Amino acid sequence: MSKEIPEEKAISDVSEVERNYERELIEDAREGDKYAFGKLIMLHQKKLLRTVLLLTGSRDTALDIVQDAFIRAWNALNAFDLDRPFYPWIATIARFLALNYIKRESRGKSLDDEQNAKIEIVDSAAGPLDKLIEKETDRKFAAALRALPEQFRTVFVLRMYEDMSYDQIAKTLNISAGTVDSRIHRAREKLVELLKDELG
Amino acid sequence: MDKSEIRHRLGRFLDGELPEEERRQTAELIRQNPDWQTEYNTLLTIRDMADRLELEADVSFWEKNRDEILDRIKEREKPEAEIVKTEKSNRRGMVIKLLAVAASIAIIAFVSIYEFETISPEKSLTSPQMRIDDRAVPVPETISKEEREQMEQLAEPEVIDSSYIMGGETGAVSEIVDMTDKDAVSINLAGGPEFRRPDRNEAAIQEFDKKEKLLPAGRDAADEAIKARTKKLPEKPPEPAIKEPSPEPQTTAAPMNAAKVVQPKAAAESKPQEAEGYSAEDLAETVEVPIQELNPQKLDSLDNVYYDLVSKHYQEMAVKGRDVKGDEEIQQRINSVASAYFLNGVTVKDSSTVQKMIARLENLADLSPDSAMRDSLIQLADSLRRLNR
Repeated sequence: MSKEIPEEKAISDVSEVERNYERELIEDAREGDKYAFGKLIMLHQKKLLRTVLLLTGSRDTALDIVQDAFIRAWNALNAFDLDRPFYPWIATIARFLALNYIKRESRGKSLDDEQNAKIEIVDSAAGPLDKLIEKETDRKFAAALRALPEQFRTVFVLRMYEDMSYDQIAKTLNISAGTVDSRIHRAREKLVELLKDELG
Repeated sequence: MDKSEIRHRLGRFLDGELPEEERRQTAELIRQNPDWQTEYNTLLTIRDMADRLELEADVSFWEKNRDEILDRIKEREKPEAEIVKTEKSNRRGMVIKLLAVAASIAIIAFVSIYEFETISPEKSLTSPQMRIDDRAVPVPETISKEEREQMEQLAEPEVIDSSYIMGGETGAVSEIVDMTDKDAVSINLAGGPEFRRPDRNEAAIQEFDKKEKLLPAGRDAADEAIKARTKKLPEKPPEPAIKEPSPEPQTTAAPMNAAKVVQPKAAAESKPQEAEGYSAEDLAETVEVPIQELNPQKLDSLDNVYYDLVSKHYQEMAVKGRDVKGDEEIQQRINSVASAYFLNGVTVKDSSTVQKMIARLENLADLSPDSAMRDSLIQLADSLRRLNR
């Protein structure tokens, strides 16, 4: 970074250029340019897949959901507000699909059932998350997360990986902010318990 | 307060969900109370583990997924194009059928005129007095009575057939087309009245004329729609968005190109794992890596560097009271990393590290015992927020 450029200006330049670049890609994609849309996919899919994967716990389902989210976004690109960043929009679509999937899967199961079920860390190396999570510590953490009851896991993932506030999570899941607070706390408690060896 | 209650409070503190007063009290408790400090560190470790969890697939995995998405989009567009194509081919088929019907009409009309000219009006085909041996075409003498009767019987259906072909009965042609090409239903419905004989029904004539007038325009519009829908998109060679920096942003971000990415020695090597676990002292030893040499693996390293640079460094500084480098140097490094992110197709605002860093720096500012240190942390958080704006 050249010393002549004031720090503040340099920072805003990066942000501005980057925003314009994304906007150009979206504008091109709106006109049917799939190559530009492919670039948008490359920019955002990694983060998106991580969230969906941690929410659903299934690699194939997560890939399907992410693909579906991008297809829906492509079909609705004209409705997208160009003054806003793209990621929150695509993330909302993917979240909606992932939460619907979770709802369908957990239909009939109560939170008590899940809480009473024996929680243990499974060896995720042989599970569906392999190939995408390589580091040993990451695997253990992912396995612990996967072992959480779905309702605890969901709020924790939304808080940690989507940086949503308690209020935002509450609105998304249609529950109270107090419930979100309680579930995040219980998720942390379980994680501490499950990862006690790692935490020393 | 038991451990669980302490963790609950600390969790809300980390999430930025505590009211101002409680937040200050909690920060004070972390500074002064070893139990609180221990629990705080436990939750920090959990959060660090969550932050560091990254999907490790290589570029080809992401490119494959991108291609699958684009293929699925193309697949979904396909049926639409096929429907239009079917309509177009059906229209062509209809023209051929129309011509065939017109040719039949012309032949029948010719035969009728010929008959009217050669047969007297009172002995027309429809006349009750008409008998087969009265027809202008002479019947050979050698024909037997049975054969003659047979011919008389055959003559009757011939009249019905011609009426049928003329379309005298409503929807006759449509029914034929419907039987042969079920996909053409919509076109038949639109074009049905065209095949009725005009002199039988005035309303049908008017409708026929109306449709004839409208048809060319309708066809043009349909052709335009087909062209628009089947218009080939500009083919561009697939180019990995992360692997190589896009030329456009490089030109617009000219000042950034001159920047070298400042990386610690460990992170400058291609293996991302080696970036982990270096000390704050290591951060001082920097090497310059040209931006062009960066690849996704190096970016991962960079992410770790970035994380350690800002987070761990300040964390140690704030909690353990270690010396810090000047803000200017830290900010320069952040800018360099941001440039590298951008030029390699990773948007800074989508880097979860940046977003989390802001909240983290604010928490650390609360924890910081020294007001100058607190100010510098808040200033850094503000810089990141501007970057992330």
